[in-house]
Amino acid sequence: MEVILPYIVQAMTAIFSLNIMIYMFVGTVAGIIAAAIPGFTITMAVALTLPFTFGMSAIEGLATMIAVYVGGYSGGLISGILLGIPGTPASVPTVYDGYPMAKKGEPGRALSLGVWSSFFGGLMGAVLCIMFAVPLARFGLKFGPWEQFSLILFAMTMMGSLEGKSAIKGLMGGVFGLLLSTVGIDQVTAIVRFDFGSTHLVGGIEFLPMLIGFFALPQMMGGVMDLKKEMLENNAKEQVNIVSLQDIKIPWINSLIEIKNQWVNTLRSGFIGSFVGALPAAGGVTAVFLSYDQSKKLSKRSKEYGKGIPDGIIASEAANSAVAGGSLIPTIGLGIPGSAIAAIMLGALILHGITPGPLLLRDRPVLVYGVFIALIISNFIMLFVHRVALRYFIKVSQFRKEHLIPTVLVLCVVGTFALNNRPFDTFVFVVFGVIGYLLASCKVPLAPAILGLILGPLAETNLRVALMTSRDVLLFFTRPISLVFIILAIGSIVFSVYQMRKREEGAESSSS
Amino acid sequence: MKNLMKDKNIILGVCMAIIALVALHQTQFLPAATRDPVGSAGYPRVLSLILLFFSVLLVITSLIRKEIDVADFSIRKNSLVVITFVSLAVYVFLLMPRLGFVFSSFIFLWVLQYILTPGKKKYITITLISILFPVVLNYIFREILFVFLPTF
Repeated sequence: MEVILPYIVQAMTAIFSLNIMIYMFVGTVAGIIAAAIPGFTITMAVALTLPFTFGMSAIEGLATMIAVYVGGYSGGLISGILLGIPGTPASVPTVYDGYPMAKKGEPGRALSLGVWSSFFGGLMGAVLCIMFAVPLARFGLKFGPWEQFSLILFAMTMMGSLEGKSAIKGLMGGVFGLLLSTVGIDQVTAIVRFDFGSTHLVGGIEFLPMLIGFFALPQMMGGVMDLKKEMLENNAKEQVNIVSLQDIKIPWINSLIEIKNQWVNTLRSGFIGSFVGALPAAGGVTAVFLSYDQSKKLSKRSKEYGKGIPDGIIASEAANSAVAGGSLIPTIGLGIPGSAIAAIMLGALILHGITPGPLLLRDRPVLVYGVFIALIISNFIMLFVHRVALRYFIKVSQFRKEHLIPTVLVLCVVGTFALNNRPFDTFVFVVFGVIGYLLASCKVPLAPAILGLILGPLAETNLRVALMTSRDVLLFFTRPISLVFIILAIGSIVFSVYQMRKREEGAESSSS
Repeated sequence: MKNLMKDKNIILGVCMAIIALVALHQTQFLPAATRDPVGSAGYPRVLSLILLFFSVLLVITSLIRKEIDVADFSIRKNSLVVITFVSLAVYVFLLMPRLGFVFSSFIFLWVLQYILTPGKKKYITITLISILFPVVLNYIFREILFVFLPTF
């Protein structure tokens, strides 16, 4: 405790400075607004925040992105409860009970239950992150290059085989990302690879334009297709308001008492969100559905789920907000992202010249403790912002796609240009946007490719250092920690093949 | 057979196989390993082979499967998507280098909002967003973040 206390004090001094508090406040608002608009995901919001952090220090940038992340996970409930349209995929189960509750004339109760659940779930995620990330980082210090390579192999196979419905496509996407990471200068020998005669490719492919292209453009094109449907039906969809803003009464105190009475549900959902969020590829959607499912199974009122009871809202929102802290456990502890958003934060660290991994805690303790404090503070800011401005966010959730899509595209172009002030990065953004759209239409999950691009150089360096240290390949299998990761990697592939077979058998039996 | 060639998975598998083969071919021009057993060529070579393996596996499993996921590349069905991508390309490659960020963004925002708006067009909203958004964004990046966007 005596050793870490000065770092905690320095981190608190940094986080509680005026500029970081302003950035976090703005970031939380931006995250809530982004998630409140259907069609704008939290991943896109965090990705588009990254260019704004270029001029900031590492701690400022990460604190801002965490605020967007935390705000985003709480914002999806707004359109979900009021319009029946989840703002983000992780808010889908919130709609099951939130929307019916709103239709019964209690939209304010649903909103306040959702916000309080998000707050407590987020705090739980933050606490668990602090509890587990530090010991995990200390454990990670024992890793040599064999263990580092096997860990990345495990993360890639987990992300590739469990993301999406096809393990082959997920793994193919991951390998594609790893191959793209080899473009440019070889870090060991300084030989240029795959530049095809272009000076622009000598430095390699920047991950940010590819990331924004992959995540933003397919999403925006999905919105374009929705608009096309509206045009063919020859009318614009009218926004259905179930209540007017003035009529919404938000019972904050009563909802807090309801949460207190459902403390078991809240606690369980927070734990599920944190631990599932810590698994690479699992993410918010898996955590939320698992939490909702468990809450329903263990509840005495299981038959009332889906009809507008508070239990469902609490289970969903507590879990999805806990994911933020959970996904940062392996990110901080081992340098392996627990989600696509955590991968973006990893990218932010790399952009600031910081090498993520177990050494981060040893080399940059103030930054690490700053992240923990930012995670806790963001939840309080999120609660405050909702308390003060929830009514105005309701209006934002009705922002039309024909205005949203062009403005987001401009934001993407600006974001990619701002990286290095060179037009080539915007070219990369457009090209990978097209590639991302085509891959997404073939149902290839894109997160493994991004992870491959980010972790590829680390994987290659560790592999080559390991083999330079000792040419004995069997060391990857004889060193216990490395062997465990390899077994887990193989296990994740086998498990996803088994899941795929089970799905196909289920589809065959239902069609016959 | 004609339908098989339109299967998205087969097209995807073939494209990825081509990428893998191109990468594999390119590794031949990289110097042999001297300092380490893998060398510059070893790692991308292995990745290309793995990508080729997955591509072939995808094609084979698609051929075995009964259902075909037909790719529909008709311009008519995807017209709005194509228009959006083309507008984006024109904005990024032609307009911005010549007109600067603010003017080119105004044109892009106005035109694309107009095209994408179903039913009755809201000209005032479209124009306000087209003017205010790039101006505010330019201000934020220039004055607060010290990132200078292209100018006219």
